[in-house]
Amino acid sequence: MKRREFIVGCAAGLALLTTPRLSLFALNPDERDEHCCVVVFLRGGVDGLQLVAPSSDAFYQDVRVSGLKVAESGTQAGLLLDNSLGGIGFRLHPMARELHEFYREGKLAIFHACGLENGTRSHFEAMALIERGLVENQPIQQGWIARVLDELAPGGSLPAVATSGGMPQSFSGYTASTSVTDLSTFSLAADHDFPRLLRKWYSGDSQLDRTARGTLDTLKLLADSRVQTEASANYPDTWYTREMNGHFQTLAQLIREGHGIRMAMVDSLGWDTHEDQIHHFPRLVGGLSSSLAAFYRDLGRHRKNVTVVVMSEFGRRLRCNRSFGTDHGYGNTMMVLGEQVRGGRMYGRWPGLSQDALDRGVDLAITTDYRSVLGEVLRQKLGVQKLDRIFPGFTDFRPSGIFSA
Amino acid sequence: MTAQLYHLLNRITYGPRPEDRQHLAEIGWDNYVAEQLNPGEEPEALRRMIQEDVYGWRFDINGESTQMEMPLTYYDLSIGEIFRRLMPAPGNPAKYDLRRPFFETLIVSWLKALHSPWQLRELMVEFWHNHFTVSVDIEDGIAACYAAYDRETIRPNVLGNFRTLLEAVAQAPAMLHYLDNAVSRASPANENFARELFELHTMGAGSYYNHLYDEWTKVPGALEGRAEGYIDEDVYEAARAFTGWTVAINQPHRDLSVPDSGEFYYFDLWHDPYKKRVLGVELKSHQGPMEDGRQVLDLLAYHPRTAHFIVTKLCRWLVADDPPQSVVDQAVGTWIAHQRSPDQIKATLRTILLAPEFAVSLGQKLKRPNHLILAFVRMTGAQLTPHESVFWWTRKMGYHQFTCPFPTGNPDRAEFWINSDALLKRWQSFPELERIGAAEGFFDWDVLAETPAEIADFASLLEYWTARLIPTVLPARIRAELRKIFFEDLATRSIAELRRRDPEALSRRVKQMVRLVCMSPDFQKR
Repeated sequence: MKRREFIVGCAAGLALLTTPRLSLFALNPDERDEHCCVVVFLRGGVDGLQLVAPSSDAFYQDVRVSGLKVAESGTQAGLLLDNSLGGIGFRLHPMARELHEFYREGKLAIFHACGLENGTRSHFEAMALIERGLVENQPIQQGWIARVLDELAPGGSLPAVATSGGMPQSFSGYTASTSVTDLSTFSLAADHDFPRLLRKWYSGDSQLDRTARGTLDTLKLLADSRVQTEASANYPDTWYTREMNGHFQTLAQLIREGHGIRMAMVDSLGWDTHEDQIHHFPRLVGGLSSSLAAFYRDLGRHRKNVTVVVMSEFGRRLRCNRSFGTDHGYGNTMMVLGEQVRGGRMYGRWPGLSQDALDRGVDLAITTDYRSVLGEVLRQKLGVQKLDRIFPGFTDFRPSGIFSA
Repeated sequence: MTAQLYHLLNRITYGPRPEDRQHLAEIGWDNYVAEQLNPGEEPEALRRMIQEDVYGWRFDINGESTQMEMPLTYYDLSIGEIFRRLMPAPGNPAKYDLRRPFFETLIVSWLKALHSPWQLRELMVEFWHNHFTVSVDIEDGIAACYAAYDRETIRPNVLGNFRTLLEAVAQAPAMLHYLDNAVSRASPANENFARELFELHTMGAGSYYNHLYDEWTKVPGALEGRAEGYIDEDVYEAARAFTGWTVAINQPHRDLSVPDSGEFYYFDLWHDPYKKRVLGVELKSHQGPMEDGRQVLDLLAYHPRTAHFIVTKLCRWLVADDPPQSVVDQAVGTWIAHQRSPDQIKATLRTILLAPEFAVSLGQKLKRPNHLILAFVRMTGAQLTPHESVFWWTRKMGYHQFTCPFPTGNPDRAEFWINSDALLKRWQSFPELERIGAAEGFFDWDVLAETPAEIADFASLLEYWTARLIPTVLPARIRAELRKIFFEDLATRSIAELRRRDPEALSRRVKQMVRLVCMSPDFQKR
């Protein structure tokens, strides 16, 4: 049986059990009904000042020690970004070769001085706020991605997917969210009568019961799914990218199979570089850049239906500490990658690094609310109209024009 | 066993065994709690497993996997001795061996969770390891310190005094490396430890008054030296207070020779000696060695917000994800009343475990992945030798034992552990244990020996095992279904006959049935 037939057959089976969702999805001609937004979350607070460096800024070059900054010249020189902000010469970290390539091809838009305008320097708090789509704490447990899906009421069989293990809080409250890490083991091999009985056993209305029934549906749907990465995707074969490659490969496979994924999240860990950033950072950046590029190639013709947002919970301090690391900071870079992105230019407003321009006199200030960047993707590519439903209390939406009309 | 007895035991063990129920039924809950809070010696059999048995250890050398069997050789050694033996040097083993103390700690922790009669203590070891999370995945040097972290820092204090535990942690090489205080020096200091000390170890993120950023005088109580919350400046100042709390690794300095022991070391030349202000309290310039840090620990350990934060976590661990405020308040009272007593934590646990709110919290907690496996083994009477494959599987299920990617530790709320990937792996784990465990020789389960011989018919068989595994009576339709699936084709034969003639077929069926009961919603809870 061909792959496509199998999926349709499966979906038909599911339709009897739940609602005939896939058929609705297939009939809708609007391309925004297929578009998928992938959030790559760099956990730990990426040092945006070394990833997208204001390298021509004299103060930056002064306060940062060698190895914690991007050089203007020499063998370790950063990759120059045209159309930068505020008359400053920005450079990508030299290990971000693939990102630079995307930028030059006009597919990658780079924001700077973005973030959560709350002031918290706590990972825990910052992530909990961002994942719930908030700026100030509110008694809302639901995640922002969950609200996007409620708003879209998508018809696909796997509308929301996380592939890094667990379920990020952004998805909380959307019960059709699916967590899949490894398709090759996503099955309940032995004792084939079990699923039928489990469905009866988990018949209640608790989160556990509902998730269990959803899992049984997904098992049926993905029974035949295996990652079939094209060799040309060329995932980097290094120990430090193996895990992230796996998450990307699973996601690319699911997108190629056409399950109607609208929102997805992939986590990248290890960015909390308080110590010896000199040593860790090149590996982290090189891994992210090459693995993300492989994912993008892996999408094949589906890449026209995918927009990738790269973000983190906060940036890092301008000055380094005495252990060759950087402590928790504030404003940061965000990136948007996609075929319809008006890339090759930087967006946002650069506040500068002079003492009076810094937040609290120590950290890069924030001039672009993270919700404006996400909001622009949601509105333009997913067709979400009411952004204040996604981000409660968000009325100051300022699109930057990152998508071509 | 009544659902109530099951519940009580289930909550303070890694799965009650038949003999635990019997003991509880004999002595009653109050006495049972008193016993658990005053643990005695470990049984001889467990001591032998730790001291004499050998365990498989697999590692890669130049990309080739090597397997060897070895006894636990590093668990009992001091850090100084471990580093002397393991540091890469001519004649010493290679770098991979630095992970052995960590690996041995994992083995010991599983052995104790499986076999120690002092189950509540083991649950508290897990609690404090998560509260004071240290991940060996940051660097191999941390793995080398892990046995000492478990044996010297965490275990002696799990039922003791919080202030003592806090200082032990602040001076533990594993923590000093993990949160970078080992490399923090004046100036600017490294803030990593100081921030997590406030946010995760003591007062909690809820006491972070970030909106007041640098206006310390506006923090309520600060002018009286009793600030009710902390701001970034407190973090900065506390970071300064802990400069010099490091690990002796032969730091180069003129005219001064720092030893190379890997042990905690106070390095005065790295300390920032000038005046600081933390939570509205002034720390004077040029105090004695470690005085600044100790004063910060005092302020934090005895802070009412800390009492509230830690006790809420304890109640979350033992009562419910959202514990009733009444039990939290009562336990906070005990915590504060005993804050200078060596039995502070023990007294607090007693309050929680004897509270009426605890007694009625059946089904309010979800087993974390490690707990699920441990309970399966303990409650079915299977034999598990701690093994890399089990640790790996548990990690794939999302539980990071000593390898947590975030300093917050493994979450203790059900919703984190409930998603399609995690749930599927929970279901898969029982057949996987049997499949991989049998192949690699670390799992053995004689289910017929665990089934009383007097059970004569399939209905009783089913009833016996469900009662042993879950607290609720099965709905009739599920019971009927189970009998149909597993025993319909055997129904014409008696169990006695099958035991004699075809024990393997019988055993296979009973195992399948037990595994399925363990996949039920009830077994997911603790």
